[in-house]
Amino acid sequence: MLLVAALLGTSSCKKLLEQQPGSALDATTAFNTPTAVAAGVAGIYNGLQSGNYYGLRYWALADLYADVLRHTGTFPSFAEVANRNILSNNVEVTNMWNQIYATVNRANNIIAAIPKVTDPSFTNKAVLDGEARFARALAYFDLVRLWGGSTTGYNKAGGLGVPLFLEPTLVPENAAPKPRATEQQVYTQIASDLDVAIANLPAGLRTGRPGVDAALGLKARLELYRGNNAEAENLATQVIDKYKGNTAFGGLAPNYADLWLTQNVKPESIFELQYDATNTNSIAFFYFTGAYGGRNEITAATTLKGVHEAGDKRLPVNVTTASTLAPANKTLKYTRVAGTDNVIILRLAELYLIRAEARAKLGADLAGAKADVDVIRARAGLAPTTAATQDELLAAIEQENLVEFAHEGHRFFDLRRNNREDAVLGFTGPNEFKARWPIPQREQQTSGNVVEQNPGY
Amino acid sequence: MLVMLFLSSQLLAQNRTITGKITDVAGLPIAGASVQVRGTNLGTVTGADGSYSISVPSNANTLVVTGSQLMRQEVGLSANQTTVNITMQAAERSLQEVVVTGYAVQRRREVTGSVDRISAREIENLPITSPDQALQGRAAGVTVTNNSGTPGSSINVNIRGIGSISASSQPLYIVDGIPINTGSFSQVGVGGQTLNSLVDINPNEIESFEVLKDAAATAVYGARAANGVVLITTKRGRNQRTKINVSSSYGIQKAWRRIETITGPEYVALVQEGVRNRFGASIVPSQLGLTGLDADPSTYPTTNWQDLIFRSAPIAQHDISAQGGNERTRFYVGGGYFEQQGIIIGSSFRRYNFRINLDNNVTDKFKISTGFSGSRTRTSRTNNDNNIYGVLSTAVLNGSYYSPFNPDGTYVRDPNSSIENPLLSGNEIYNNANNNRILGNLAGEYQILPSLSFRTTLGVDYTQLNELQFFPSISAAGAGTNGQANEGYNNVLNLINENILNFTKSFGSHNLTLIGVASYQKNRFESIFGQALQFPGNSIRRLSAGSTKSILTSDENSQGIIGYVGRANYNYKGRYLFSASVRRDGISNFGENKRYGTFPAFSAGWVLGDEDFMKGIRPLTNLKIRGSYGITGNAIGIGLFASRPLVGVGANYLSSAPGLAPSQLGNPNLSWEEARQADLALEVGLFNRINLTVEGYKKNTNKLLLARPLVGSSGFTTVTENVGELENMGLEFQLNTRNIAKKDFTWTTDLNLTFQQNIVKKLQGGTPFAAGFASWVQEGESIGSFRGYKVAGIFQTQDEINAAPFQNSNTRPGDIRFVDINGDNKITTDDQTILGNAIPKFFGGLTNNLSYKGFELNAFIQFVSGNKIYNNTRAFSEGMNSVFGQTVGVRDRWQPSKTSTTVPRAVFGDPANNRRVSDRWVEDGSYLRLKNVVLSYGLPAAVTNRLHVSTFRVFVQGQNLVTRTKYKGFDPEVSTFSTTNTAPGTDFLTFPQARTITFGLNLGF
Repeated sequence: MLLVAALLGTSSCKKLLEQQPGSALDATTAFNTPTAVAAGVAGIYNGLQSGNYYGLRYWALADLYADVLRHTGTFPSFAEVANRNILSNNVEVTNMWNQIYATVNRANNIIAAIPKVTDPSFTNKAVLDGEARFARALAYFDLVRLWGGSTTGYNKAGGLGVPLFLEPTLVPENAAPKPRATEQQVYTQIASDLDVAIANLPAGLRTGRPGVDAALGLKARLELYRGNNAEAENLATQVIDKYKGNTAFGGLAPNYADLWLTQNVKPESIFELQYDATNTNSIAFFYFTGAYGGRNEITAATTLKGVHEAGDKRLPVNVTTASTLAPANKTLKYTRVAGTDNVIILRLAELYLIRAEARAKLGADLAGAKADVDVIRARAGLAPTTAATQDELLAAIEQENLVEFAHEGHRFFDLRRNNREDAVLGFTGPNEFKARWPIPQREQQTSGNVVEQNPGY
Repeated sequence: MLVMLFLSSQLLAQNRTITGKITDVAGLPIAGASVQVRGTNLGTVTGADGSYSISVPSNANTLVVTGSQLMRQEVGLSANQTTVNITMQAAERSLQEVVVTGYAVQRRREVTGSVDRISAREIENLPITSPDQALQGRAAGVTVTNNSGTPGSSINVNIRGIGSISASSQPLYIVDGIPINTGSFSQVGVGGQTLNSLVDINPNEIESFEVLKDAAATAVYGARAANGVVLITTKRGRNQRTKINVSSSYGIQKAWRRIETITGPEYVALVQEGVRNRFGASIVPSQLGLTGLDADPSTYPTTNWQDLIFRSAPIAQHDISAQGGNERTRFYVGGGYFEQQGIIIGSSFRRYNFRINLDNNVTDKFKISTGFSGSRTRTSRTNNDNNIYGVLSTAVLNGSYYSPFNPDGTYVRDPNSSIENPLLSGNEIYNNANNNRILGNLAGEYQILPSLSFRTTLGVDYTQLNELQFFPSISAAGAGTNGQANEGYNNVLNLINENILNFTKSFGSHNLTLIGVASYQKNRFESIFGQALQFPGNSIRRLSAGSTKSILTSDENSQGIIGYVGRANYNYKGRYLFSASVRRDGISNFGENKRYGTFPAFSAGWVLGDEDFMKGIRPLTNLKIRGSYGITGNAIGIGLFASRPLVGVGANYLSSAPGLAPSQLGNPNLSWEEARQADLALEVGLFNRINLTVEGYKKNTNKLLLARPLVGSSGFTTVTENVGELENMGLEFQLNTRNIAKKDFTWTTDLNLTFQQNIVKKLQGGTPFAAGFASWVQEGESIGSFRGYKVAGIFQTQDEINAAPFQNSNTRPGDIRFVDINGDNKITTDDQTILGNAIPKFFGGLTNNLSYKGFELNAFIQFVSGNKIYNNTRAFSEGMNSVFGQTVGVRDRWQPSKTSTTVPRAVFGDPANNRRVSDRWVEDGSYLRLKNVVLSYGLPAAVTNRLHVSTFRVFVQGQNLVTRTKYKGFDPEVSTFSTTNTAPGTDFLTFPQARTITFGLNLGF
């Protein structure tokens, strides 16, 4: 009788053991159609949106570590960052590292899948490839400038890079640890991805996705970090020249606050990561006090107000006074506590300051450098800078970067690029090593020390 | 003369003969049982086949059956009845006791596996919410922890230790043959405590629990048995006059302990001191942007938040049942209502349930039976534990320096902190989980031959959970979005068909039982979850009212399980016992080539006490040794598609761009965890009064399905592989004594005691990993270990700091001196070490039962010893790092004028990280608890007869009346991570257990 039951059951048994997930695809064949590839590219932006990346921590913790933000909340892991005393097992640092690399893997999947899709209707192939490569370049750049380089700056001899994963991780074997590449190797990879992106991305500005200007702009930033100042100047000029006539302020939005209060203000906003009601972030939630529906985790540094010159129109944006929009000492850049604030990753103002810094460093066109700084100052309602010498100009550029990009996570990297973190953040003597963040302890241990820790941690 | 009259009346009345057969629950005949007519001395004794014959007077209305190791039973007689067959229940823990083992029942003396039975009687009249709570302290080798005092929340049950790292370590629960869903299906986050599917079952409808512990007992459940099996048998009808039972109780619960917090003035002084210590003597809090903390501390009021959120909470339970039947049909019907408010505002639990169990003999050979139960529970949890909107959480973490309400009655929130007002959190945030559950089974059994029967069963377990959480616009969580609602629905359906062939036959002194089972199970999980924001006021909470729909997801998954079981039990003269079983299981979770596994077990026993050479030893009434070895699997708690490489949906970029992203790295070789367990036991009975079982086990669980850490740079952080190995060893003692057994006075004692040890034998690449707040999994250490820094006092001077290993650039006098474990002269993350673990060295329970005439006193003591707790509550409430409320420990803080060697200075922001994970927060978690005391009184038969009731019993019960512990937190029985393998014994603002007094009444008709 049992035997009969068993025999009757054989085919239905096989079926009983073959269940399918309701909301997932088999990874080996998931990206084999044009629509799936497009969805995979959306997945890359989704990776950038994470709270462990541009959705908060990447730029906010960099500002917290520098002198832009201070910690007023409850997370001990944030306190470690604020105290410039990060332990290598800091959960934020670990999550950020993992999230940025997860985004890299999403891009790797798409870059590998695109050539295999032969569907003739797949006409936006090159654009999607360009977007994936742009995202991968951005991610590796963000990795190397936080965890890599030298304690004396970027592009120095012996500068440390990060592990380079360029193929999709499909099976456990693909996940074998790789040692850290050199800083130069990472830069070379970023440049090569950006060159493909520049070739493939459509001209002009897009909303929420990079166009060719975003790739040119990111490359300008890369060349500035690498010390290729002439190239940085050239790339920045390519973008600036396209838009400088668009507004009275060299293409910049006439009203600084509008960039965030209105959102997607073109042409200044070159690459702006989008959020909406179903794709939210926790940025304002982390800033706002309980009464405004937030958790009061981060607040403008007490010194931030003081670094603004009298009459600077950016002050009410960078250090708020209490209003219906935001509580006191926060920023008007992130005011939507429902989580729909966009995050601007690249904007035209940065290209002016990249060009100014490149020109000042080259030394040949100090007047041009000053002119670029003054474009920024004019929009802020400030008189032209009095800086004239190379040193004065570099100091003026650093100051302008601090104020212009407060709450955007630029400050720490601007300091590192010019080895100024020693003086400003006190990273001298036994604290010299703090210029680089610790490689997550988890990464180091899991790799069996194949991924080496930054000295000092 | 009187005697004569009495005799003659008896003679005159003796006018009919009743015959019948006395059997046990398993249908086996009972020889030597005494059958008496109540109120007379007429009686007889059953023969070898269990049959009896007795002449009774015509007015006799009740037969009384008693016997060695049997529970006394009274059976009503109807007029003209001449045949009375009686099924007897064995006395608890006796050799005659019939225990339910997988797919069969067996007499205890013939059992060769490790099976503990807990009967309904032991949990009678206790305020127990869910069946798993009943196991606490009542079975050796079973650790039960109420993770919190949250009504209706999860309970952690480990049979013979934590047997897994990343899969489940909870036992398989089987109710009347149907494997049921356990755990939590909640989709709404509250911070800590999860829901518990077992609360859907009313403990009062349970007849017995059988806890299957060793491989011999569990291997018939194959791939789901590695962490033990709990068989739950519900009450069924009997061949007896219908008995109606009503029981009702009501009680009050209260917190048994508070944590003392500092006053408002002390709090403000502390913050001011911390700010000065960090930023300089002239700096006041407002210069850091802190509002309202600059004034003279003595001008501030004191709010004791705990006084405001703890309450006296009622608990009530009402059950009614009818149980009866005749030769052909037997029934049990019952219904219950249970209601409990939590001792913290905002929490409650409520359950309605009913059950019908029916058995019918269609013919002498064909029997049908069914069981059907329905329940609805409503669990109102507050946000809790690790949650800034939690009620107890905020009651501890809010400073005591301000009043909870504004003059206009609105709630005040600390302007310097992100945490919620505890009263608002408890009173205004809505969070309800409604669960509807149906458990049903239908069985047919046909006796093909006298020795061969076939039974087929169909079972269903259907759970429908809907949850609604609403944060009004006045709450911190809803303020920014004008209200926020989260709503989830789950449908979980398990269907199972099992076909059991049973062959039982004796050939002379050779007794053989063969069982074959084919089992098919399909589980289906569906869920939908939505979130909406922007509400037109706070009175409408449903998603439809919110103008922004921020989340909408749904999912559907399924699982198939096929099992084939064979088992042979053989004994010779009931003395030499052998059993062998094998189960072949297939589960859809695993890779195509690894879907089937085979789980064998062998056991043997020798009833030495029955040997002729032992007969002369008078006091010895039983002596038995038994042993077993077998392999079982664990697939519970593993992702349903854990073996597949997956690309997941939902990685969208805006509403216009649906997204896909890799979500899981596949492993086609993924298979079960495998436990190899050896068990050896000695059972001794002395003077018919003392029963002792000593049992040792060693359980090695290997192929642990472990999320092996990958380098994050690969894009994945983990892949599931069969890599780990754990070992649990233990020694279990179970002692039951009948100290006094007089007619009017009895006293029995049950003691169980377990010594246990866990060791992590193997992790992937030997790489240790962190879990929870301070927990650490490392080879060679016990699971549940804590790891962190060691404290070597407080730096008193700068010279001491300079001379010590480099701590931190911010270290100043008054900061903690951490130990340089690795001797490299600086404090780094490598200076962390194991600080103890959360697994008790030993634990157990002691029950004393005294009865004198109608009075009965039952006292149950439960204890654990040798475990540590990581008190993360103190890490915040004595951390002095920010604006959190602080407890009185900070009064001893280091100050230049009042140096301390244990508590550091107050310094705002804690730049030297004094409050990092260290042995400062690791405390002894041992406790001994008078868990329950029940005193009851039953009216004597003379009175009950006059009242026309059969029983009338009143009782008073106390729970957690006494707790002895050195632990400083709210309660030593705690797990902030709910049911967890890797981070047990962590306390972070967890809802404590209550002290409960209940009064009640049992009425029988």
